[in-house]
Amino acid sequence: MNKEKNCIETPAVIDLRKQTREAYSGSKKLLDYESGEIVCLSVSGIGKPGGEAYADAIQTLYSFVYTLKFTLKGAGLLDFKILPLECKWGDFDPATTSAEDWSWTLQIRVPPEVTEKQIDDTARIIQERKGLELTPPERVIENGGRWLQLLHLGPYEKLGETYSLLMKEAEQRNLQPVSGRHREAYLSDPRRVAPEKQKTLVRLCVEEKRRDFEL
Amino acid sequence: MRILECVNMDTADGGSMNPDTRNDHIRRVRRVSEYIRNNLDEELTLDKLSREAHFSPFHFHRIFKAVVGESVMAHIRRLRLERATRHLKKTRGPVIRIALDAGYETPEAFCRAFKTLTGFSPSSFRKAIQQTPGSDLGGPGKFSFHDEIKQDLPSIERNVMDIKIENWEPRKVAFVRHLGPYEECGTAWDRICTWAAPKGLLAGGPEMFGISYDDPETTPPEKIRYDACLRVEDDIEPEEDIGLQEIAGGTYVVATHEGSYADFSQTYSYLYADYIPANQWECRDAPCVEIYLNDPNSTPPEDLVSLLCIPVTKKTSGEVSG
Repeated sequence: MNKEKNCIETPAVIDLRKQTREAYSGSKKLLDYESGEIVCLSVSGIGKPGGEAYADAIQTLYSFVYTLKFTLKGAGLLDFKILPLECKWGDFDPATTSAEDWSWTLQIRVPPEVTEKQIDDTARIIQERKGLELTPPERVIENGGRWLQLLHLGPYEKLGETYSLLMKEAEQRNLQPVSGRHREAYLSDPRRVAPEKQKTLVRLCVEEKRRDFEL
Repeated sequence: MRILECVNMDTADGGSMNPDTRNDHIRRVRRVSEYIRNNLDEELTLDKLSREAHFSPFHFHRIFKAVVGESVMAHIRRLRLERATRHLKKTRGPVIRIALDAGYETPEAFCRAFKTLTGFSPSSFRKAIQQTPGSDLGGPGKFSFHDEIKQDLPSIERNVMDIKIENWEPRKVAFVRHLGPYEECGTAWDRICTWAAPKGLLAGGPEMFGISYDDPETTPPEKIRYDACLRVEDDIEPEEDIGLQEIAGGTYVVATHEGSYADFSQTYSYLYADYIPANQWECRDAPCVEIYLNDPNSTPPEDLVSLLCIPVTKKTSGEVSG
């Protein structure tokens, strides 16, 4: 085997965590920070978290992000660290909506250098080899904003408690949540880690409270 | 993959202990230690010693460490150093001669090792001993020459550990061989992934395995072997630095290790010294396989989850290679 022959010249590794440290911090303290727009691979769907559609979306995202990363790295074009899976929830009330009807957008952030053509090429590679009938993720730009963030330790069923804490914090700071823009980032793989040890970053996008006009 | 049995090992309970089987490991390791002691001037290779103990070379270094509490090479070094200390006490030969006999290339290296072990330089040790007639070697420092092989296997602190017995089909894998310290094996993973990605082999839940062949405390860093393996289908051909091999089918003890890869040796020690002999298994002549369930590049070490898989067979009566 000739190792020398296959040494690949790769560009420096892009670590997006370093660009917004707070966004991926495992700190247990409440964080209040601003971040700019980000680029994500994105798959939307409707259905129970952990259900078939949700699991397929996760599989699609991971298949794409790893194939994309190592294809670009092998070609010497781009290299980046893979970030945790994130979820942006639709604007519904989980207390009154059946889990089967929950709408979600699963995302993995990638460097802005990743192009739509590269995503299409990745889809072709996967479909040719695996014959997988899958819809490629979209390249989506998510707006930046001001975020309140807490680390939730424990099962997903109790995420509501952490959202309540964030809402209280927002109220105390005279802030209000921006509708449909709360996000979660999963630091633990739910298939591998016991529910009581699962770490989830919960982010609430907030803005200054608007003053009511008096007519 | 068929799961044959599933147990949840608690810290307090090592399963249905069988003293005879467990003592068999101790007896075989003791024999190797005797062999080392009687052949300190010989070249003592792992292959030679594993044959002496009737253990497969794939497992010998881990079994030895699990039973004795130190690596084979550390054990040999210590026995040579202890012998040197006896020579210092009982002879008037020059320190350099004693250092060379102990396998050290320079007197300085010998002095450093000696001081680490005893707290004294060789000459001050000799002076103190020889000026105090009747003193034993426990005199200066707290140093004793007793063998370290325990009558009972060491008790290993461990968290609750899931252990399963699985029956595997043979698996064809493409692999990249890494030679060097295990901490640097990421380059082999980069290589196999950059080879596999354009072929679509990283999609749809790829199965990846690591094979660590050597004990980093015994084998020189540049000779440590590690294979980064990716399961492939039959139509894949070897090319340049990408080899093909088969991961042996058969029965495996599969333990879930939670936490840093650097702590694998504690889990291996528990399995080799405790679980495997206590449950009437013995090791087969095939390498251990590691399965990494999350990505070390994006997961903090404490959250890593891995499966350590040891190929085993049910123990037959008498001493069999294992």
